Amino acid sequence: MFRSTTGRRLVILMAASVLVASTAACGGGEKTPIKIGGLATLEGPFAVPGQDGFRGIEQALNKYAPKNSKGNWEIAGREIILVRGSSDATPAKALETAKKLIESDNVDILIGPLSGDEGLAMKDYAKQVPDKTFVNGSSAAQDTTFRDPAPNFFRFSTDGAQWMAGLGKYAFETKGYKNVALVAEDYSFPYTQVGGFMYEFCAAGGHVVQKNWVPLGTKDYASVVSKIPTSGIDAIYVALGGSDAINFFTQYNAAGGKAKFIGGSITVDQSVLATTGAFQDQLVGTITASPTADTATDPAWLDYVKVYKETFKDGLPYPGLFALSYYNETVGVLTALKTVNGDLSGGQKKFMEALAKTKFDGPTGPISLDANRNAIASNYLSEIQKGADGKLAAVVIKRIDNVDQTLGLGKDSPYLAQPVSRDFPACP
Amino acid sequence: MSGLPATSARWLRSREGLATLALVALLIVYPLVMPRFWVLSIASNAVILGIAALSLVFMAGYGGMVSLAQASLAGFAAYMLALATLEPSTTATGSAIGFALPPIPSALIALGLATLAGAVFGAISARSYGIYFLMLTLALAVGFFYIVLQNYEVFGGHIGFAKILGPTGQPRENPTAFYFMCLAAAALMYLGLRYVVRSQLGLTFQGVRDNPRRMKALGYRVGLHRVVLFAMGGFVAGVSGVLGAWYRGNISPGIVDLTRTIDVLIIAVLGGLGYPIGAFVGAVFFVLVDVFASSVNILGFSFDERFNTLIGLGFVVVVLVAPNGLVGLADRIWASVGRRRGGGQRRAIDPLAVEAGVAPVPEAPLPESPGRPAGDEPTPSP
Amino acid sequence: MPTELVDFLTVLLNGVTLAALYFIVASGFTLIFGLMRTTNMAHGAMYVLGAYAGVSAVTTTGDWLIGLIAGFVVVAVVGVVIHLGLLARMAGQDLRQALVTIGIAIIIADLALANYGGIAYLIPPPTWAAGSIAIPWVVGGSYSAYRLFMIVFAVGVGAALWLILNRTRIGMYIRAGIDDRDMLSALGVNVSRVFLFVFALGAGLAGLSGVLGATGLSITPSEDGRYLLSSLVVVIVGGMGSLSGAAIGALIIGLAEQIGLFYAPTYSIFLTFVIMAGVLAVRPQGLLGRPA
Repeated sequence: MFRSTTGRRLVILMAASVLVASTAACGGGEKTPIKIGGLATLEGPFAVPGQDGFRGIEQALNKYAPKNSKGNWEIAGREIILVRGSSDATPAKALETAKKLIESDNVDILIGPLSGDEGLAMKDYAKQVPDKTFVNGSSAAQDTTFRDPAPNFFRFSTDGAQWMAGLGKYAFETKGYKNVALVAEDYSFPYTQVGGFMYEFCAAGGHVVQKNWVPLGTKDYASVVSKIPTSGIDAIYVALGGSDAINFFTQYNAAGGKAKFIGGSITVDQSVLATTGAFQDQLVGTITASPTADTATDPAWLDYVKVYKETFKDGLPYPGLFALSYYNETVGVLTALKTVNGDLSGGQKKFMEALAKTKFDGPTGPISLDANRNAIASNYLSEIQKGADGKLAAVVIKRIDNVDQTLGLGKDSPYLAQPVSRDFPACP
Repeated sequence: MSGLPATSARWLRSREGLATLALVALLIVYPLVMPRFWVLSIASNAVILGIAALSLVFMAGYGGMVSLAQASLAGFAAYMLALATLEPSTTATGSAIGFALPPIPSALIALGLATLAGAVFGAISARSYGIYFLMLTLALAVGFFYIVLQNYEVFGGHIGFAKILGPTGQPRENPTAFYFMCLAAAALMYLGLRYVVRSQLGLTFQGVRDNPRRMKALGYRVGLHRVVLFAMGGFVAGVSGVLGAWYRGNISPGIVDLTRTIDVLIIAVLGGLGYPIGAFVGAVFFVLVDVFASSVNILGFSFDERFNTLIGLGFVVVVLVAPNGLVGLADRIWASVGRRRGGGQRRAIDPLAVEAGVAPVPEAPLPESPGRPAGDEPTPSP
Repeated sequence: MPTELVDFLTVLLNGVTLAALYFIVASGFTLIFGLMRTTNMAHGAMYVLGAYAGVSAVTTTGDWLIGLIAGFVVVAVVGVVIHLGLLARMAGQDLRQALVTIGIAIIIADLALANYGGIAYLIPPPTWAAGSIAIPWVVGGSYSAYRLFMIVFAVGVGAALWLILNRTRIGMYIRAGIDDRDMLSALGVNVSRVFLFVFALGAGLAGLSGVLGATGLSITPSEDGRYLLSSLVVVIVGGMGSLSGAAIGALIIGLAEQIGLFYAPTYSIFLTFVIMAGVLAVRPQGLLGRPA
């Protein structure tokens, strides 16, 4: 059974060819161009946000490192080479791709990843590579920067809890919702979103009376719908994404549910609003919060959207929060590169110092970094309304600037004492 | 050329011996000349995946048990390693279990538990054969994924565990040491399985594979042997799992999801289900494609975003054209191009020709199993 | 009526309606395996393909029934191509067939992603099956009309399949072939044509269920794994090659999922696998399956 000799010869042949190939690949390493690695999910259900993320990077490069006569992006006299890498939303693949970008492609700066769990893994990896700069993509887990941060990991986008800034307070004080049930998927990102909502809602005096954590992979929400109390609650906080949100709303509507909704940042996004179905009317009046708002009227945002639409003919109808996050991260990097005049020498120490102090005005408001190198940025509070054309859109109620990771509660607040989880925070 | 050589000296001078020496020399020199990325992310990664695939090749080739649960068993070992080697967590999203043991004792505990898990899987599936067995192991694997995804008390849920350190420390800081550790483990597993295969136990396994009914009539406890085989598969998969955890420094549900489960099968089939060395050949090939596929450009059509299609196509082609995988392909080419060695045209079992419940039929008697009577025909097993 | 009873009855109804979908998905899978011993690991991908064919058809014509037919026909045709082009050449080699279909599944899912993108599509239900129906003994007093329609449809499909199997000549050949392939061929029946028919039928059923599921539950390209696994579990529990086994398996799994989701949501999905492992440990061929 053991084809020993031939098998071994084959392995030798392969090993030899690998050796030859790698010697060829080993070359190169000119220091003049700056290599930036971009990491986003191009596989699986996050493929569409991933593509949008790369659009964000490119749009920032076009604006702040305009192409030179040779057609390459250039800043401070150095050309920029963008190397793309893909993951599939699992930390393992993200790490493998990051290692390839950092160690095989020798990128100087890595921008990514896209999802929360990947970001947590990336933070740990960053600690092992202290002389390269790691900048976030759009990953929004709280602990990536809030607890045990890496000194060379920078996040110019806000975390999932910050994405809820303004919502909890508005729900309690303005909308008058006192008792809320929640439906969310059972993993870290919804924990963070729910946390952000509850920080404000509980602090204001509200009660979350029922938490329904639905396992990832559930498609049929019928029994969850049956569990939600038909009386005694003012609204349901729904932190589901994409197709799951559509499933839930459809089934809730079909079962005759009547409660109002409070939406997570990806629950009532453009794809959900665009899907036709009987549940559409029920969505009117839903409040939500997010770092982007399609209908915002700030001139910087309008300009940003205009450039997006002109540059990317195959893009989404509006740049989403993934495009915006990757855009802001890249702008931060390019701003700092300009400040140090492209100097990445000395283990990038000067560059990282400049990066930590970088402030700029993004399309949605001013952005700066806190002591953990996490963004202090703006957030939009919106309400879903039906337009004159009968289509649903998220109309901006207000924009809240300078939201920090504690949502204004301060680092010592009891609500922040523990990492977010199924049971924490709680205010039954 | 057949089983054990008469004297070591003669073997060393034979073609097989020289080739082996050359290979060993190459493997030893490799980390000393290659950059760290190639030592760790390509070679060590391939070796680790190869060990997992080896467990599948062993079970499939010698037990007729094509198991899709190997990635899960490897992952289980990694989880148990994490629990043994880390401190207990104080947060709600971490496990309160943690013994903070040093790496080697933790690894031994993990391996023991993985072997046990293999035995449990074996007990559940002892009476399933062929395709039923395949699907049952697939379902077990997915079931395991959902436990580790949902359970925080033991498995750390969605987040899993991080900061798992092996005896050589951070792989990045000691790539050569880590590489040799993986290589040594792989060699141990490979040689160990070779030894088992030639032993009495190995012959019994093959008998059970080919004709369970007859073996039962001869007084062998077929079910027990299948459980033992699965347990051994669990052990080898566990080695892969432990090394993988030390390589990544973490374990999370993504390591045991459906994609990784299928990956092990793809690697084993790529290399050749009938050839234990195929597990490693397939792994090298797989890792290279996985890492560099996104840079592939064919006729201007970039596979940047469509590399799943690329891998799917490649897999279909291999299954169609090279049923015994790359090693089998090389074998066929060698046999038709070169001269025949003594022993004539020997073909390995084509495990892909397995029918549900019907044992595979070799085309000629194999020298490794001299005890089998000639003209033995398999009958459909219950 | 006490709330616990109302809850439980609602959950039961949820489970039965979900089982209706699972039955249709699994029926094709079990037929293909029962006769041809082919484990079609691309079954989930066929579900997805049918769903998207339905999406395109409904978007273009606005008619749900046309979408349903499109789902069936498109996937049946693809099934014919796969069978003639690939699987028929590996007749009898179950493992190889299973592996090839895995590769095909990966390709189909990726191409669907390329063409339709990663966002979810929801096919609007036909007007005569939309909205809710007042049912006093369920939570909230009303239940989704479309879900109830799914039960009716599944019963219809089951009846149609039973009729085909038991009242037509080709059905007779199929049943004979499930019992003894070689004898069927020895009797002079063109077995390969029967195989082709069954594979096309099974694939078509997968596509049909895709349209059904996309209407009730929305569709994304990554759902192929989910529905493949559901079919697998249903068929393993119920027994390979048995249509009534598929029905029973679907009921057990659908109920387990919904009951689990209501009473013990954290481990609801895991529960279905425990059931499956339990059934198989005791009866390796499934509840109503025949041994290999």
